[in-house]
Order: sequence, then structure tokens, then C-alpha cells
Amino acid sequence: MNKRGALLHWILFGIIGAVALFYTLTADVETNVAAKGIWSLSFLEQNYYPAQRESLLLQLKAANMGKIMAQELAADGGFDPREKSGCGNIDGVPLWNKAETICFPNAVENAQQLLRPQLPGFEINFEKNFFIGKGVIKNIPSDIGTYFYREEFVVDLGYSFSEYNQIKQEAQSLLAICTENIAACLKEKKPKHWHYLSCQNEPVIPADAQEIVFCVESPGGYKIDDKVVQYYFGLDFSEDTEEPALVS
Amino acid sequence: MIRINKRGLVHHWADLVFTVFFGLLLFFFLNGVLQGSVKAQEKTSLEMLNQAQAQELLLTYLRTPVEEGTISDLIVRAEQQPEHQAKLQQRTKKFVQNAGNRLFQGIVINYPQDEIPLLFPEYLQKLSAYATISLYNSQNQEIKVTLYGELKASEYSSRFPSGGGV
Repeated sequence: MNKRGALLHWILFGIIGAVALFYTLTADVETNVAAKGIWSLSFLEQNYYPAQRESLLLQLKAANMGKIMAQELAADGGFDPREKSGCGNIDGVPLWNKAETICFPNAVENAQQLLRPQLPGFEINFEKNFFIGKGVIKNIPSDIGTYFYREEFVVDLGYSFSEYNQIKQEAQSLLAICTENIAACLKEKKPKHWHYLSCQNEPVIPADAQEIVFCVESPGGYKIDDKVVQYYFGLDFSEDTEEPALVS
Repeated sequence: MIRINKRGLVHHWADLVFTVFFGLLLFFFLNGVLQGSVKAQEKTSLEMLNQAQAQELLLTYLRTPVEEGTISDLIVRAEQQPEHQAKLQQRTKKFVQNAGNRLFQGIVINYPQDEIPLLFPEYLQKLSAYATISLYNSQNQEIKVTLYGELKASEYSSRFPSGGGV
């Protein structure tokens, strides 16, 4: 190799070294090419999942409200505590009848009425064991877009308001059967899940009792938060000469 | 026709060799630069994808129906009723087994009062937190539910500086 060849040879190594150095220093060059899926993933992160989390919290809140309401309603004989029975009360417990006047509660309507202030803007329904709420359209805005969704929930309460119908039928049957010797009649005829005054320590029904408070355990054995649902209401077994009337 | 002498022929070939050589170098250089950038973006996309998948898994877990309602109901109730904690642990374990997902390896529930590591607590330090959802108890206090999955590459070196295995 002559002198010029040797020079060329070293220049070649120099160029390779320079390129290698340049490459090492500029390896993190930004290419301005956006990564695929970033927008959709950001939309999920900033809009969709916050909405899903809201829905989850709403579901949890609704389940809690529904369960508390069902227990409280049963403890108030199916009446809204603010609107007592048209037949009056006995020891603070609503009467389902006054002699021939019937004041059975409309449990579903009362339940809806109780829940409306807690869930404003929601259309509330009960189907079988489910508590259903349909709310308004909400949106979650972010820098990249807005996600619209309807606030709604379906909660399995593990309890049905249709139980009130069975208890009403049993009450009507007792009122029809026990017209005299009420205490003895009730002792014999009342269903096993019916108790006088308390579901825990049931006292003996006084012989002269006419207006009687009952604690009725859920005929379907429904439990809410591990507690059997208990209905408290009174029945009036006294006879009245007036014509029967229905009071809502 | 152009006539080239011997020296000219050598120059001609040298030019060709240099051109091909630098062409190759340029190709490798651009390839390296673009690959590096794409790899970084791919990593970002995958991390975001993992986060989204983890959110979905955590939501599914919390909405899973159980006797008491849903897992989220059970979590809230387990705070006041310790007998539900065993149930919760059992159901969570079952969910993890059924999910069979690398992003769902453990759950930590932070109650306002204390912390109950629910699943595989002995491996928890070798996992990474992927998603957190806050629930609220009847006193409106926050209950944090965090999902743990396989260790993130970005956290590996800080957790195991000596290069210990996962």
C-alpha cells in the first residue's frame, strides 16, 4: 500500500468512528411519528373508565339505599314514615285496617317515594328482586374528547316487594276468620311466621285485645344483610257496623 | 465511448465501493434511529394498554356477583364484619385463578383504619400496582382497592438493584 492508500485507509476508519459516535449520541431522535392507539387508550383512561367507576359507585350506593329502605319500609308496615296509615296507629305502629276500613299500603309506590329524594332525577322501578334506576345523560369531558353515558343501575336486592301481597292476603284471611275470641283464634290460626308484638320474644296475646300489633317474618325467608326482613303493622279485629271502605 | 486508464479504473471502483459502503451505513443508521423510536412508542402503548386492561379487570372483579350482592358490596361489608374477610379472600382467590391473567395477581384493600393484603402477600413486593378504584363505606370514608400484576419493567431495577429474580 502506498502513502496515499494508507491515508485513505485511516480516513475510512475515522469516518466509521465518527458515524458510530454520531449514532450513539443521536439514538433518541424523536421521529414525530405518533404511537398507534394512544388516542383511544387515552380516551378510555380519561373518559370511559371514570364513567365506569362512577357507575360502580352509583350501583354500590343504590344497593345500600335499596336495602336500608326495604328494611325500614317493612318495619313501618309498608308505609312512608312521614305519611302514616289512614287507619291510624297503635303504639306508633301503622294499622292496616280500622274495623271494616282497609288501609293496606302500596309498598312499591311508598318505596319509590322514599328513594326519590335520595336519587334525584332517577326513574325508579322494582322488578322481581331487582331495584332499577334510570337517570339522566351525563358526560365526562377531557382534553381529547367527551364521553356521554346514561346514569343507570340494576341492583339485586335479594328481596321482592311482592311479599306484601301474600301478607295482605294472610291478614285479610285472619280478619275474616277471627271475629270472636280473638286471642285464642289468632293463637290457633295465625301462620307460623306471624308473631304478636315481637319476632324475638313473643308474649301471650291478651284475651281482650282488639287492636293487635304483629311482627311478621318474611314469608319467603328473604334476608337483607343477613337479617330476615320483619314487617311491623297492626290489625284491628273490633267489629264495626259501618259499610266497608277502602282508604289508601 | 469513454476510455479509462488503469488509475482511472481504480478511482472508479473506489467511488463505487465508497458509495455502497456509505449507503449501507446510512441504512443501518436510519434503521437504528427509527427502530429505537418505534420501540419506545411501542413500550408506551403497551404500558397504556396494560393500564386499560387492568382497569377493566378491576371493574369486572368489583362487579362480580356473589351471594352478598357483588364483590364491592362484600368489600364494604368486610370492614365492619370481619367474618366476611375470609369469604372475600376466598372469592378473590377464585377470581384470580379463573382470570388467569398476568395483570391480576393480587389485590390490596386499604380500609380507612388499616391495610389488609388479601392475596399472595408474600409475592406482593414482586408485583406492580396497575389500577386503583376507591369505594366508600357508610360513613363516606374511602376504601382503596388496588390491583397488582406482574412487575413492570420500569420498576424492576429500583426494586431489585442487585438483579434478583422475580
